[in-house]
Amino acid sequence: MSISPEVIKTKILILEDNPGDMLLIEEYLLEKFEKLTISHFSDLQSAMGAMDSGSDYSVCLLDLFLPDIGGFELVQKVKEACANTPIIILTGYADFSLARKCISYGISDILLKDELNSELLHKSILYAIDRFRFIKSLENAKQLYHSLFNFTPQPMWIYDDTTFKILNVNNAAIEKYGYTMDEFLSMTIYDIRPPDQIYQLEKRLSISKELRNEPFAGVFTHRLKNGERIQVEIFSSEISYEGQLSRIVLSNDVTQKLKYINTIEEQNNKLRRIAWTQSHVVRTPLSRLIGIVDLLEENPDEMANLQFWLQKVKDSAVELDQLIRTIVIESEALNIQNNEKL
Amino acid sequence: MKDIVLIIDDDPVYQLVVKSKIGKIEPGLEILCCEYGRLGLNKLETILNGYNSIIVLLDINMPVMNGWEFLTECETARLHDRQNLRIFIVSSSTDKSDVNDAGKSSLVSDYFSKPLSNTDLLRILKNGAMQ
Repeated sequence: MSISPEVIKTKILILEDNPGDMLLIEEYLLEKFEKLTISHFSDLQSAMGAMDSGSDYSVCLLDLFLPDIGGFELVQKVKEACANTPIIILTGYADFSLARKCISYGISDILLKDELNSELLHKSILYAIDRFRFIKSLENAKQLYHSLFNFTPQPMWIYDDTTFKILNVNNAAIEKYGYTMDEFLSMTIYDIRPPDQIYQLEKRLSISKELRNEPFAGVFTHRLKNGERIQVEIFSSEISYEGQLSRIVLSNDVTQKLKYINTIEEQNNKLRRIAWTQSHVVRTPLSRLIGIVDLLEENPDEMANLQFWLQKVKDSAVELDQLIRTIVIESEALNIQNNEKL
Repeated sequence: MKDIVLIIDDDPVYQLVVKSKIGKIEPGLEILCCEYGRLGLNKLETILNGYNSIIVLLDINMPVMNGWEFLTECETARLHDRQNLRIFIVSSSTDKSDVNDAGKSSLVSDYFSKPLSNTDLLRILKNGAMQ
């Protein structure tokens, strides 16, 4: 941030009741700013209207004591009215405790009238504008992250990594888990687990910090306020939240997905059963047929029992036929189920 | 002492075919047949000490006690210490997992898919005979 010659128009709001001071301030300003508009008011009452109507002032110069109101009360009123404008206080008295109070309240600068000159005022105004812009952009970024947190359709929360207390939750978490924000804030991450799953959480919390840096924590069972159990994929990451070492968590309900996978697994098992039947059961009469033919080829003596072996060949062929029919029926049943489920 | 072949299989036609084939390769070799594992186990116990060499041809898929259960029982009875016993799995399965499982058991000398060819039988009889 450097003090550069102002090329854009500077719009200054001045609240000052002393005509002599006002004259001096105006002079200092005209000396340094090329394009300048000044709106001047002598008391708060008359200034209120100007401040309300879409205040696009670059800066507000405020005398600490006006005829109708003064001191910190005045500062509060002006700050409220011009939330989007940096405020510089001009005062005749060096009251440090009040000065500190004002600065912590978000006032950009406090200048003593006795020490005022064009250089000092110019510098203070430019700094105030730049700094205010920077603070605003930080606030906007904070707002943006807050929105991202709140408007993502997946439940998220932040918890204290020492006490495991829940520090913040988003709207999706409130909707999914059924607890209100206040309820969440009085809970720990233990409270969203069914009692029989606490050991899973403790197992997870006991692993080393390095491993916990992996965003994907695994699939866990959580419990909603209404007692329903859900399967969730958990992603988490370390975060510094309002100065506390915390973790931000994203929870993705995969209950339905797991159900689908189970359905697919069941179908796979049926297919495996068919494959097994083919390997074991179908090959039984088939290998018997090959065995009989082999025997007749290799042992001519057995030709004496041809009638017997032919009957066995016929029996095996019928058995094979039956098995194949059964497999066809099973496969058809599998197809029908497929169409119903998908 | 003599050699003996114990066929444990629930398919009577298979039993006949194998008996006939062995009869051609080694006429006079004693052959016993059982329909399932439990019977095979009882038979095995009675002949265990009476023969120089016992060759078991074991099917997998059988009623009452299947081939795997038979092998487990043999292990419990510590039959793998028996120098005169050779067990060969002869199954209609060509399933890889069965072949792998067979490989895991220290009791199983080899695995064959049905039908047994003369070459297979020659290998079994040669392998099974005591040196």
